[in-house]
Parts: sequence; structure tokens; C-alpha cells
Amino acid sequence: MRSPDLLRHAWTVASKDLLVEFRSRTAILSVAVFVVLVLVVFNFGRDATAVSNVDLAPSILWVTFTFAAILALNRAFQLELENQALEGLLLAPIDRSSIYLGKLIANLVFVSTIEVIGVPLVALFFNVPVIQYLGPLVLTIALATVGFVAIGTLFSAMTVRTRFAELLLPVLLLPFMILPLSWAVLATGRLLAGRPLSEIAGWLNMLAVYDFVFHSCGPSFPGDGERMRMLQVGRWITAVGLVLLAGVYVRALAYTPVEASQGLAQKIFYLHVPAAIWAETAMVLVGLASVFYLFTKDQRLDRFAAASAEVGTIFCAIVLTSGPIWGKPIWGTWWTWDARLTSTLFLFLLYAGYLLLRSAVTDPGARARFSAVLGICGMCEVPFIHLSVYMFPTLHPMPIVLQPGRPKLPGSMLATWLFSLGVFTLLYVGFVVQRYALSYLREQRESHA
Amino acid sequence: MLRAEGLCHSFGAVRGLDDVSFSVQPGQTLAVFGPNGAGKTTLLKVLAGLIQPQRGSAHVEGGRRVIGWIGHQPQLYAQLTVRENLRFWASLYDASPSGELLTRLGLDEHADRPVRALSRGLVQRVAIARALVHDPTVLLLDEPFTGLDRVAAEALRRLLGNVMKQGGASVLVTHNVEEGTELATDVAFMRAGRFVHFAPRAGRGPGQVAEEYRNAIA
Repeated sequence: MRSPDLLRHAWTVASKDLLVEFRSRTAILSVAVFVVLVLVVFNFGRDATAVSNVDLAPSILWVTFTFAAILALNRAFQLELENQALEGLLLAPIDRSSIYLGKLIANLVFVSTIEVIGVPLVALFFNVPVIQYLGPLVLTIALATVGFVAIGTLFSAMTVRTRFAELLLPVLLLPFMILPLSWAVLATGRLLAGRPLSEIAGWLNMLAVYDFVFHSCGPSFPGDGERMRMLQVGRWITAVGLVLLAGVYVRALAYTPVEASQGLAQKIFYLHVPAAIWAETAMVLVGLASVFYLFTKDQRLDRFAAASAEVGTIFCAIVLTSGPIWGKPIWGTWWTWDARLTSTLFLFLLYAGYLLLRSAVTDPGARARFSAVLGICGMCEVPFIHLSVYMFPTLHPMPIVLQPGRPKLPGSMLATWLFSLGVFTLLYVGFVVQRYALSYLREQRESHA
Repeated sequence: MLRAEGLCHSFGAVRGLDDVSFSVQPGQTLAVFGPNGAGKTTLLKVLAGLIQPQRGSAHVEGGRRVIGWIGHQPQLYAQLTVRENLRFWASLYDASPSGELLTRLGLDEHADRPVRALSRGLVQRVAIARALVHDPTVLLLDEPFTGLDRVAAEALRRLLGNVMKQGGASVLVTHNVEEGTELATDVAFMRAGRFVHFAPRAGRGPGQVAEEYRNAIA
């Protein structure tokens, strides 16, 4: 479809949404009241002697915008369910990207209106200077808003016809919003504290990159016997992998030197880091399979993506369990809201959202399509998670193997680590082969039922 | 004009369509009768491209642009007026709503009223106007007479007749055999996702078709 048609149809959809909202004014009034109430609740919930207004206001501002925006985004496609207008839209001879784009424009207008109401109220209630930093503040708000509204609009489209859509949208969206929100909070905080613009340039650049990446995701609306053998093969590979994992720990405990400063606690490294690498890699593979699925509609790719996500979830759980066990003796705490820990938790939530979405959509075609879009978004999130140690102040060590230059590990430790990485690779393959075969057999059983 | 070949589609363990094949030529109206859950609405959605079949293919000559759809729901925005609704849907088809359509459906005096203020019968008339606003040549009709008053039902029959005279084609699904037979040139009975009968109407009256339907479905 030609771009002028795409834009014209997008504007038709957007102007219809805005006209509907203008006629009813229900949503905007409700959300405006919600914004005021949240700010009032925050005001009574804070201890003014413990944290200054300037330190607190950015977090309050963005938490308020986040929840108000989720209310608005939830409504965007719900509107189309009334009288099944969504079917009419899907039936119309227009590019489906124009529906997304139209909803995006309407949502941006809607969320911007909420922000126009919210910023003066925050300035008033928390007595923070806004006028003198208005230009950079508007730029920060605009960059963050464009990013999360883009991804929110996409997820709103995907979840609208699922069970528990209103719950599913925040579950899917919040892991994606945390990074831009944290950058926006940091930038807003620096601005309100009167710091020079150069100090927030890095956060604004990150927001711009995030916007670009997730806007690119949006318009992408573009024999049993054999499988039983596959299942057996998967089981054997997994069994061999588990035996070899025991071998990794025999080697790590008996034949690898004890690290001087951390002692025995460092031995978790041989489990923790390979699991983390495969937790991230599994999501990248989900994304790649999803990209190819959208082009080819080959069900095998969708099945592989689902299997990879299930295995990635397990590996992510291993990382989140082994990390605190390692952290307690070294840092003196099980958990800290450190960049790498938090971003790994987001990855886990992202996997959980992906699997929830798959279970919430009953139509196989729609399930595969929606999951593919979410899988691609998940893949785009992985570089941010991996590089989080460079972006934020962190307790977590910098990469010592996967980094530019030679690995900073003694030879025997590196050998044990590489052995473990190989074993985790084997485990990934074994689990994925089993899950793939099982999902194929389940589909066959259902279609013959 | 409209062709379906080996359509199969399941919703988990539930079989929606099971190897359904047929074609409809210009001037023909295929009436598909079946009990609830037989797969009638799924068939229409596959023909319209709203559902991608798991096997088989459906082809409508002219694509989505020529399809007019009347379903269970009116597909209208309650806050907008009749005229605004029609203007919106027409613009998606690069068309403009004609005043004649409003007149023929008796909607002239209601054109500037919001849809939420209209009675159920009037809303159904607006839904018909919405489906015909871009002059479709292939009509997909899902229980189109449900909720229509006598005047609107007559207007719908006349409008459908005009489309057929101009070389259009339609598929009508319903469980009301008498009403459907009056409009049909071809008749199909559907059970558990399959066509158990598919033949030209060939002079059969509503009573005879109803009798055959009862025997086929029992």
C-alpha cells in the first residue's frame, strides 16, 4: 500500500477515535481524576523530612503517567470491541499497519493530554521548579511517551481479544516500560535538580534509540512416529546434559582453583553465567524464529519459538535463584535493585508474559502471530538487558568473558566455564527438542479429537 | 466470483470447518442452514479473510474491497451519529456515503442522531447501510434478518435483490430455513463443520427445503 494511503487511513482511524472520545469524554475525565487521586495519595504517603520534593517528584510523576497511560492504552482497542467494530476494521481494504498507526496517534494525543494535566499538578503539589526547565522536560516526556505508547499500542492490539485483556496488557507492557521509565526518571530528576543539560543527554539518547527500536516493531503486522522418536532423542540429550552438569561441578570443586577473594561461593559462577547466557540467547532465538514466522507462516518456527521461550524461562529462573545464593556471602544481601539483577527479573517477567499470551489466545493463527510480535519485542530488549551494567551504577561485576579483549579468567577457570557453557548448550537443545516434539504431538491430538 | 476449496479449521479440539468446498457465481445466492455450532459463522469469517484457514483456500474476486458484511453485531460506534458512522466506514473504502441509501432505508430523519439514541430496529438499518455503503458486489450475511422490523426486512430484501441483478453474489447463513430459502438460488446444509447437502434450490419451496433440512440434520 502507498504511504499516502497508509497515512490517510491512519488519520481516519485516529480522528474517529478522538471524535468518539470527545463525544463521551468518559475516559479522559476518569483518567484525569485518577491522576489527581494518585498524586494526592502520594502526597500523603511520603515523608517530607526523609526525601526532598525534588528527589521524589520525578518518580511520582512517572509512576502516575505509567498507570494513567495503561488505563488509556487498555481502552484503545476495547473501543473497537463495542458492536464488533474491530471486525469491520479488519475487513476493510486498508493496510493493518494503518489501524495500528491510527491508534498510536490517538493514544499519543490521549496520553499527552494526561501529561499536560499531570505536570502542572506535580509542580503545584510538590513545589518543584518546572517553568525554567520546561523545554528539556517536555523533550524528555515526549521521548519516553512516544516509546511506551508505541509498544503499549501494539500490545493493546494483541491482547484485546484475549481472556483477562485488562490484566494481560500491564503484565506484558511493564517489563518493557521499566527501562525507558528509569531513564526518564533519572533525566527528570537531574533536570529538576538544576543540573546541566549535558548530564541528561545520555538518557535522552537512550530514549531515542528505544523509540526507534520499538517503532520499528510496530508495523510488522506484515508424522507422529517421527515426533515420538524426536521426543526420545530430546530426552537422551537432556539426560546426557544433566550427567555432564554433575561432571562440571566435580571439575569445578576438585580440579579448579578456589577464587582468592570470594572463596567457595564463586563456584556458583559455573552455573550462573552459562544459564544467564542461554536465558538471553533463548529470547534472541525466539525473536529470530518469530521474524521468520511472520514472513513464512511456517508453524514449525512458531513451535520452536514457544519451546525456546519455555526453556529460556527455566534458565532465567536458574539465574534468579543462583544469583542471590552467590550474592548473599559476597554482597551481604540476597537481593538488591541493581541494574543487572533488575533487568534479569524483567527478562523473566517478559518470558512469563510471552507464555501467558500464548495460553490466553485460543485461535492458533492469532496466537502464533501475536506471540511472534511479542517475541520480536523481547529480542529487541535483550541488548538493553545485557548492556545494563554499562548503563547504570551497579554492584554486579562487569563481563569478564563476553567482553572486548581477552577473557579476564585464569586458564583452568576458563576451561571449566567453557565446559559448563557447552553443557548448558546441550541442555538447551535437549529441552527444546522435547518441548517442540510434545507441542507437535499435542496439536495433532487436538486436531484429531 | 467466490470460491472455497477444502477449507479446514479447528478451534483447539472443536472442529469449525471440515473440508468445505463450493463456488458461487454472479447472480447466485447460497443459503447455508445449520444448527448452532455447525460452523456457519466460521465459514463466513474465512471467506471474508477474518480467519486464516488451517487448510484449504478461499478466494473472493476483487478481494476485501468488494465484500459487504452483515453480522450479529452492527459494527457501529454508539457515540457517533449515523452520518458520521457511514462517513467513517465509507472513507476506509475510499467511497462516500450516498443520500439515496439513507432514503431507501428510511434513515433520512435520523442521520444526525447518535447511534446510541436509536431503537434496535433503526440500529439494524444503519448496520445494513454500513455494509452497503461502498457498493459491494459480494455479500456475506450472518443472520441478517435478526432484530429487523418488517419495513427494514423488506428494504433489505430489495437491496439484496438489486445487488444480485447487477451481477453480485452472496452467501447467507441462518438457521431460519423459510426466510433463507426465499432469497436462495442454492442451498447447503451444514453439520459439525461439513456440508452434508449442497445443491441448487431448483424450484423447491421453503417447506420442502425445511423438511429436507430436518432429515439431513437429524
